[in-house]
Amino acid sequence: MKALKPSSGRPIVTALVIWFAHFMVVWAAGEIWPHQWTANAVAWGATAIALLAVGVHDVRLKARHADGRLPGWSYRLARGSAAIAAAAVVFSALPSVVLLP
Amino acid sequence: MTPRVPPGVAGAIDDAATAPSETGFDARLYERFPTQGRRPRGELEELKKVWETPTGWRAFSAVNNNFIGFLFIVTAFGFFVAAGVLSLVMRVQLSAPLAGIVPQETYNQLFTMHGSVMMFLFAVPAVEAIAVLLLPQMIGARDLPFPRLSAYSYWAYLIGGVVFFCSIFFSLAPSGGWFMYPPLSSAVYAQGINADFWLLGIGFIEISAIAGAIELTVGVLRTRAPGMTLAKMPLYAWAVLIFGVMIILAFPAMIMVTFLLELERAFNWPLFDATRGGDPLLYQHLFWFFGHPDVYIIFIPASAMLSTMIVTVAQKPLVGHEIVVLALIATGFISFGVWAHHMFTVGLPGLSAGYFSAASMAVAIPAGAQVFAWIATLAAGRIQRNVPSLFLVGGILIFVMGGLTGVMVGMVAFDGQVHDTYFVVAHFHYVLIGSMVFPLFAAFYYWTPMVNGQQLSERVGRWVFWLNFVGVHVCFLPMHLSGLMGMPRRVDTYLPGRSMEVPNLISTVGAFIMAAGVLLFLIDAIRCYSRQGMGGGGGNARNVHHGGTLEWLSTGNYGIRSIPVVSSLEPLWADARLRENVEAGRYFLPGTTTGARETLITSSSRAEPQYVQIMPGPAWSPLLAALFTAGFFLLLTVKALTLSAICGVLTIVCVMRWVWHNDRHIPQKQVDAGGGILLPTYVTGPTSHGWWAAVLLVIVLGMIFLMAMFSYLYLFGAHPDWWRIAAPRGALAPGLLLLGASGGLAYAARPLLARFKRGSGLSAATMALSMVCLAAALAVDSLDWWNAGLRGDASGQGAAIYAMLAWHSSIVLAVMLSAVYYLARWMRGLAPGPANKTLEALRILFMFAACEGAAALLLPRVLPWGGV
Repeated sequence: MKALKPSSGRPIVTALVIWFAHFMVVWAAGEIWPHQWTANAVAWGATAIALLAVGVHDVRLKARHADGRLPGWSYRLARGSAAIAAAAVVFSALPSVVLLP
Repeated sequence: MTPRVPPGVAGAIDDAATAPSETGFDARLYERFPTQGRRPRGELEELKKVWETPTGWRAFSAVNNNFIGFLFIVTAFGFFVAAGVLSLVMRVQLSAPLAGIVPQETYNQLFTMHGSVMMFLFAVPAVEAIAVLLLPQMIGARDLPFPRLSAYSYWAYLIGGVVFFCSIFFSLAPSGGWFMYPPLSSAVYAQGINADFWLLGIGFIEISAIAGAIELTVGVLRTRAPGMTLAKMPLYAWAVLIFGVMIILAFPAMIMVTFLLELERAFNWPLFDATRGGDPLLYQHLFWFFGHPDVYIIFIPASAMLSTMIVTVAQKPLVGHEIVVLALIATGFISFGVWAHHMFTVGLPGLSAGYFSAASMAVAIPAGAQVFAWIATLAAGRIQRNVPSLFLVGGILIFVMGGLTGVMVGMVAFDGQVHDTYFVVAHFHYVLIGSMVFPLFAAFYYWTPMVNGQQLSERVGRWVFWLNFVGVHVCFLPMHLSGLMGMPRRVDTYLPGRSMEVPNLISTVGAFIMAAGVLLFLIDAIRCYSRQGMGGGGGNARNVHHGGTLEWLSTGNYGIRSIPVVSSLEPLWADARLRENVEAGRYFLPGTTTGARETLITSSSRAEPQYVQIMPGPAWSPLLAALFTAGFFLLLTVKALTLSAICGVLTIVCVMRWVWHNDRHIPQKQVDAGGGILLPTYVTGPTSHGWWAAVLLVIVLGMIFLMAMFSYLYLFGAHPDWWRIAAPRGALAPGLLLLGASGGLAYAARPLLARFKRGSGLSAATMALSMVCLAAALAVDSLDWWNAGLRGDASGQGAAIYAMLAWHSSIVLAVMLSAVYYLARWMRGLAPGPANKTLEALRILFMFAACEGAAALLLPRVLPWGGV
């Protein structure tokens, strides 16, 4: 039997990795430019990029599922983690909107 | 008549039809199970003999997960009791104002040891210990994939823990709090070797925890029963997987921070001294990057135990199983973004504090989802009214109360009011007791029949529960009040007339109520376990709770008689005849095909059978290696350098002896794994479970070095004025050339081995050359800085750069020893082509070391760009 490309845990953790990268960027900006607009601006930019990345990931998940390359269980979990990651990104960005220099 | 296809087999074949194969395995072969007819005479006896635990003094050489796991749990519980006794002394001291029960310095040692022992010697090891005992049984493996690593992990933990704990009897215990913040823990304010004992003890626990985490992670991913895809994997196995990955990612920060603190104490390198370009906040960042995920490292497996038991107690599948899996993954992730909520009062920029506050709130959401799943499952089921169920419900209640105050202290403004008060003490005790201690007690009552066939007393158990449940609230509820009234933590007394007397007296009474509960449990446990031996026992109380997972099929040291095909979360509920067929040896590996200990290695995602692993049996080397490792660190702490060096050499000898026989090359030999299915016994590369362990080890090493790089960047960002030596560029070209050659040679070793007639010798030579290039690059890099005038004790710049190089040196030393080891194997003809596992693992380490060397070479020369 010919082995096909395996489904791994990657679809599930990708969105959460995006959240973590976003978190580290906004935190580092806050430390490097304390009490400056730059930190807030970086946070907004990073948030836009992160949400875009999660969106693209979600679209690709749907495509892979439609092609039959992503089993239902992994697909549901991956989409769930994308939803959590999107909410967490927005939640993480909230202080940069509220706490202005 | 055609025999009926068992649900597990039918389900596995259906599952295989819905998704592509991971390995090319034909799932229709599962139809051969359960096999028909009688098994050969003497097969079971041979299996038992192979897996027998040595008796008498040879028992110390045992490596079986049943034996080691049990010792592990007993030891962890012993430390729990010991740390509890310390807390009783503290509570007596605080029962009245200005009491003089213990001197102030002793009190400082007591709270430091209580916290350190509870966190490092009880909480993490206890959940790891249960995983060592339970995981293989639950996923249908005969043992964990590296039994000697389990044994080493246990002995290192026991020896390190006992030495560390005994320091309190000689007034050598640390007194700077369980987190040992500098400058209080620096050589200036913590003279003597007390703090070094802490570093020694914690070093051991780190080694033990990481060894266990690698083992458990590989165990979950590669030793599951056939058909047990990730979707059909028990929640507990998911939790152990997340737990293992979290340890692999979080503990390196702790390793680096203890390494840096020891460098500062031993060599006066000012890593945390703000007056010379260091920064004490660097310590806090690194410590809490480990410290907060550590709470979830404890919580996640304990919560999964809770979920597993709730399913049985309610006799109902877990409501929202997928959501709970997702919640565990999300909790694991988000827990890495909350570390600085322990640092709200140190003067973080407001925006940074805001981010951590937001993440702290966010992590409550997945944790809350689990709680709702538990409540829904209990509400939907027919609840068994027994002691485990009492501890489960009590634990959920206590955890929710702790979680609510956690959300409160996650708010920056509120945390500013209660930071370092008894409110925080109450909060984290509620969280840890509810999420870990109560589930642990539930687990003792629930799984004891699996371990020895006997039940702990239900009548006594109810007393144990109520004493503990009442004791927790009597002890810790008043602490919220005393904390809000401003009573600080870690102070040995308080003044009279400030309304602190009553809440403190009540707390002390509560502590003794809890102690009574624990004492009662101990008496019952000793009574129960002294009645029957381990390893199958003789009792008939197995599966008294009617659990649905595979651990209830375990009948001996070998785990289960034959490894079934599984396609359900509760296979025992799905197939009423599963036990009978498994015990009759009608599935995979009903005996021993090679005359050695074996288990089935399956693919990581779809659990398709790949090969039969020949497992190592009892050996003295793990125990001796742990003993000599202890000797090395202990003698180093008391400055007995020669003896310490001897112990170091002996450790290396023991480790090499230990791994020497692990790579048993049986070229492409195939064996009947059951039902006439032929599987190989020797594979290399990514298919091999050893390769996975090597990759995980490199990830640990990579994370440690990442923390070293973070330390450099943090100090440079915080104190650029102390970057006074212009980065020398002389070593750049030769260093990079050497490192490129080192990595390239290590990479080339495998194709050389595979393609040439004398490939074995060629691969050994290239590995040796790779090592020489790596060592030369390190020498060039270090000399470059030294000649530029950089000194470790002069500034934060020197300390950070030399700390990075010092860590890299230890990796280079490991590479040198590995090269010698591989040469020795080649000389004995044990490095044959076309591939061997030892080379596969070592070249990963060599290539990583070359990359690390390049990062160490480049970072301080690139940042600051253009000099200083």
